[in-house]
Amino acid sequence: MLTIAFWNVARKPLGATVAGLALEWDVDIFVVCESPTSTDATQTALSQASQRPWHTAFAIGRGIVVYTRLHPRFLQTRRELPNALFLNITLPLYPDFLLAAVHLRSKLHAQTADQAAAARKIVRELSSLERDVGHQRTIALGDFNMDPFEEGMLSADAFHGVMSRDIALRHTRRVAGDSYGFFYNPMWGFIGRSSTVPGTYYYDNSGAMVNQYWHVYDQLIVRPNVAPWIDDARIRILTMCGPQSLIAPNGCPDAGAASDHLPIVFSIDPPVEIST
Amino acid sequence: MTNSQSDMWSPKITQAPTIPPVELMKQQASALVNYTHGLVTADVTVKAYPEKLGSLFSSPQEPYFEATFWLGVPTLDYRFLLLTARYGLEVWPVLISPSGQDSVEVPDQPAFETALRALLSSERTTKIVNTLMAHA
Repeated sequence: MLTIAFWNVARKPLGATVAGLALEWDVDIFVVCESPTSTDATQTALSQASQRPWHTAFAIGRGIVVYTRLHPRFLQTRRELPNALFLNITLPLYPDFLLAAVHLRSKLHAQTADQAAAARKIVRELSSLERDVGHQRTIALGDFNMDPFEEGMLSADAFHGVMSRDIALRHTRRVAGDSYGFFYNPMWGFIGRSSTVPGTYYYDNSGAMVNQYWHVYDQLIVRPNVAPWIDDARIRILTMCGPQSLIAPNGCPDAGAASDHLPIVFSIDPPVEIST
Repeated sequence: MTNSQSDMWSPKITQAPTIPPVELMKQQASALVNYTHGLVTADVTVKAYPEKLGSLFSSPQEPYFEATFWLGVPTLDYRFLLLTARYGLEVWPVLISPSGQDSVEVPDQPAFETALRALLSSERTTKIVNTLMAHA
């Protein structure tokens, strides 16, 4: 089992909070984006909190940084885009898999069509990489800056992330003669969930006629081959770090003391591969 | 059984539980070093999921504990989850979930020991430990 976390810290110096979450949730790989804190400082905070060495595996500037308590030899960077980092993770006893860490542009700076175009570019790169490595054991996570139902997340030629595991397990869908691979997007189930926070990000667009307030911009999506590794019940949107609430008294993410995004954490349980 | 005069407790108090599953797991974890000489280690961690965290799950759940049995390769900072054991405030029954295999619920300590023995002594676990040794 491997535990992976993601958090957009929104340019807040939250290295200690990242370390606290990593300790609390026993995280193996922590993807952080928009951190103003140096990678060295965050890595040190992670190491001190857990009393074991953490490594900065890869970084695109400070836009996306991958920290891990695994030995760096297990993670290899395969490709990189300005908004995405593609890693191959090879662990003893488990099949290797791809991890794509993404951070798409905010709606403040990009139209829907721009975001969808960015999603298509990432998927093209990812599909090309999957052909190179010869498998489709892929997990993509990050701040997509889109909800699961938006074009870039759902369109067949973009992430194609459906809410149904069963549908995703059909692997592909043909549209106008072309075949498109699915992703399974378990984050659909977090939209407006009454038993927890209604999303990972809150934006009060009060001047607009349509105001959704809560969004699920921070997501993980997986290829059908990886879907059996994921237990939906072990995907969490985090609202606390120890005694510290990441939620402000008004019920929204505490953008002052923490981030306007909430972290997500999940575990994967790949099948064990034992050579005979 | 009649209480002595100095014992004012109710005889209806539940008998002290048997050795809790986490202790049994820790005993076995510490025994592994005898075979691997530290190249592969074992460790047990326990995490409590209190009621207040129930809302974070897909459906509300009772508080429970999760004891996780890890195999580790210290030279690689690598660890492998061998099994988890989940139990509630009353300890028994315990849900044993070996990594990559179906879960099984055991009602009491003897059944837990039997299941743990079967798992730790299995050919599969032996191969896992040997594979990790080869990486160390």
